[in-house]
Amino acid sequence: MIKTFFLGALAVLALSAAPAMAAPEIGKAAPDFTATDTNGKSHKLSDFKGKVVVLEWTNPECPYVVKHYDSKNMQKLQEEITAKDVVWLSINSGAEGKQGHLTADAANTYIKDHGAKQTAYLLDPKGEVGKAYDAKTTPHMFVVDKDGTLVYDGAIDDNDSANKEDAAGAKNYVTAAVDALVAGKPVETSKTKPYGCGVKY
Amino acid sequence: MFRRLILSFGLLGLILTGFSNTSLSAADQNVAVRLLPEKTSVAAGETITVGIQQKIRPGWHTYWANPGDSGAVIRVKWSGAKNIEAAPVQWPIPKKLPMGPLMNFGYEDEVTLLQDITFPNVNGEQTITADIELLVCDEICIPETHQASFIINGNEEPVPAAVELARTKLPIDMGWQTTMTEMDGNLVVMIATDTPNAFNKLRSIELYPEEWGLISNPAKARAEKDEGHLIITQKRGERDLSDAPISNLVVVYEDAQGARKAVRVSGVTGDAIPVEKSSVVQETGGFVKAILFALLGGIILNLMPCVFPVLSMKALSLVKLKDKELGKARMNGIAYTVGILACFTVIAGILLLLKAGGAQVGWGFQLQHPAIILFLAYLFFTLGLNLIGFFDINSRFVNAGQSLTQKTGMTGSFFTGVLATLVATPCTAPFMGVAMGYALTQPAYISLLIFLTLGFGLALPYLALTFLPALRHVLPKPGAWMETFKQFLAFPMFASACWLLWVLSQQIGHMGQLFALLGMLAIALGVWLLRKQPQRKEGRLIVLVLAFLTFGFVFSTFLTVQQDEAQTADQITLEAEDNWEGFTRAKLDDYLKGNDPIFVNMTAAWCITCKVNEKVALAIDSTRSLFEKNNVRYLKGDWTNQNPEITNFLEEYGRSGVPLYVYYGPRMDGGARPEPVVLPQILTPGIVEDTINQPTGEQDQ
Repeated sequence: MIKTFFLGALAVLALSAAPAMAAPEIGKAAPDFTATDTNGKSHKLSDFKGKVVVLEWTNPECPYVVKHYDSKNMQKLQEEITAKDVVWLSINSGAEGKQGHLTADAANTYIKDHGAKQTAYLLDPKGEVGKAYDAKTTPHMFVVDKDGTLVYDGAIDDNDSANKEDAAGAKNYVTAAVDALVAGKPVETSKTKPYGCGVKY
Repeated sequence: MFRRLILSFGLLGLILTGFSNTSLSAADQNVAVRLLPEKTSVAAGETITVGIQQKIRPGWHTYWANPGDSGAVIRVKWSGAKNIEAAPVQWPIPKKLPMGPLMNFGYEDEVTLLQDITFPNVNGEQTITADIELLVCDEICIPETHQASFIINGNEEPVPAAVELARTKLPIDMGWQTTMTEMDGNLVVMIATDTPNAFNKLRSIELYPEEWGLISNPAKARAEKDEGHLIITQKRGERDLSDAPISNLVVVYEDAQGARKAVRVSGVTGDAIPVEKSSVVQETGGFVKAILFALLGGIILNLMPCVFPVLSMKALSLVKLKDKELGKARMNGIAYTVGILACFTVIAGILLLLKAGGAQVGWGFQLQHPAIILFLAYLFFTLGLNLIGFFDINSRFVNAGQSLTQKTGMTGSFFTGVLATLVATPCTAPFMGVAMGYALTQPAYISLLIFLTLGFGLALPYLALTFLPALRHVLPKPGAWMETFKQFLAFPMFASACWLLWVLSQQIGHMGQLFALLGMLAIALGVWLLRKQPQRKEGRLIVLVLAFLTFGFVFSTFLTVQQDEAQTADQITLEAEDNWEGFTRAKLDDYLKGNDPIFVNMTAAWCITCKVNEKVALAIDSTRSLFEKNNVRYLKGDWTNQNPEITNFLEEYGRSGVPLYVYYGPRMDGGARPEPVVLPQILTPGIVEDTINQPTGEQDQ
């Protein structure tokens, strides 16, 4: 009897399946993508095989992103992590006309003004990369290991306040994941709730 | 463009850094925050509830305990007295706030969160301050900080009514056993309850887990119901279930009236609770039981004091019929049955129409209207006058029902059936409640079938007498005793009229009752006048005019019975000098949060079973002291007049009428309450005692 319920429920779900975003799974291959950076250069995730890759969803006007850039927390993190031969890709999935959408020039100015240290700043105004990763917030962080496997998906740290004073003392999940990978250990915390503003698809 | 950008950054910086000096919420913020203390005179060690009211700019929203795909939970820090302890925030029912492909859970326009604050130390007049960080978004998000305060033990007035109002907007905590299972990429939530049909009327069900990542937030929930279970299926979220093995779940639904409501349960990861092999069989079981109870209830109805005299008269007419041919008796029996069924169809039809129109009605709904009570009181009084021999139906004047019922032959039997139904309406027999409750939660045709079965039960004894000669031979032989018996039967009729008058006085007060008494006097006068049949034409005319005037007065009394505004529980509470308090949902919820056992008694002035139960089992010294000893919170709901809150409560327990007795056992140490117990409709002191002293009370040891 109960099976019938579930089958029925399933059928309905299948029929009404919303344009749901495919959530990437920890321990599985990270969805591959190709995107153009602020200098017009194309980047493909799979080209970085052999290197650890950090993905950072960003929106310059989101207060939670502002928290991490005004406190220089994000820049410091980018500097430390890229120094370990890790690739850092910042991704802006803000649609044209929405808050935080940047043109290539505006983004370059932003990078310069803030002293950002990412490997590349990718523009994803159609939200294709964002949806492939089910990126929900800014900042929403992902870490991909050398084999292209997704090992972390979630918040940047464990303090979801918007107060920039809180950035320094928080436990940073991205640092922890990268450090574990570099040391050849398994990533301890691989899934957390991302906090921040919604991605403006 | 850039200047604006920089400007807005600067502003944000100001907002972000300038917290400490804001003493009040700034007017240009998107949320205005105000604290609503339930009490402002506070002793050391006392706990008070404080409302944190947010007035949100139109188009913007703030967030629930689980904000969904993005957003942030409010942060509140209390200061102003030493060692303040703050309990977790109590969240009102959230709503879905879609944003592109993402989904958030939160509030728009206005919301009041509640928080219990304990003051281990107090020191005279103190200003209690809440430092609040919240995120408010439309498309874009702005973190705001607010500082709000109130003064304890000073001049500040508390606002208990506002807190009470906010409480009504919280989901109701239910101890229903709930499991969460992952199945084929879905989260399957199964909620079990002992209350039959508790979920029948729920529509537009939405699932809100307090833990993040259990469901895909934008996906839709699908609900399946059977008699005792609600099964909600929604696409799973990204977080492992093992990471959040326990989560409070808020289940939001629309009730039959379209009101948005919610219950809160604690979901535990695990195997789904096994459901009885076939719930279809269960369903038909419920139907068969309801039909049986309806039939039984109908038969017992014949013995109720309001119906018995009418039936007796009918049976007595059979005594006379004895020697005549059987065929005629049978035709009479059939006509009588058809009369009853026709009348039941009309009443059930009205009831179902009203229900379909969204009215809060149940069995006995007719009696919530004073005009009908008055009509029935007059009808009983007139029938009584007739039975005692004050007037004879064979007189020349025409008096609605009776003359028709006394007509010989089938028309007469048909109208006796109608009359029997009419006089049966104020009576409820045992077994009827269950059947009626079931009927009203079913599709219309099943409801009608159950109503008709009840009617058939009412008709059955007489029908059996007409069809089975053997039964008729049991009846005593005709004789002079018949007249005496007939006269005696007038007294149950008068008694029923007295009772209806008392009900009326509860509904419309003493003046209404006086008019009703005068109306009865006028009926008696009118009948007496009509019996006088002067020889002279002028005399007859005068008598007719006088009689016309008297009956005119009787009719005018119906105009005086305007129904009062639905009586509020407050009024009832004011009158309470007893060991009970007036029922309100909020009060029940409040007590449910505590540890004490709760006894709910749903009653009405026109419900005789209720009154008997109270006299016999509830308002007696032993039960009072039993309640006192066990700290039982005794809530009484008065359904004499319409009260949607009570109707809703009855429906939750699968009932459509009173009486209803529900006992909520005490909470085990910090744990859940046992399932509520529904007591039988006929109470004895022993039943009440057993319920309260049942094994669930053993945690005292």
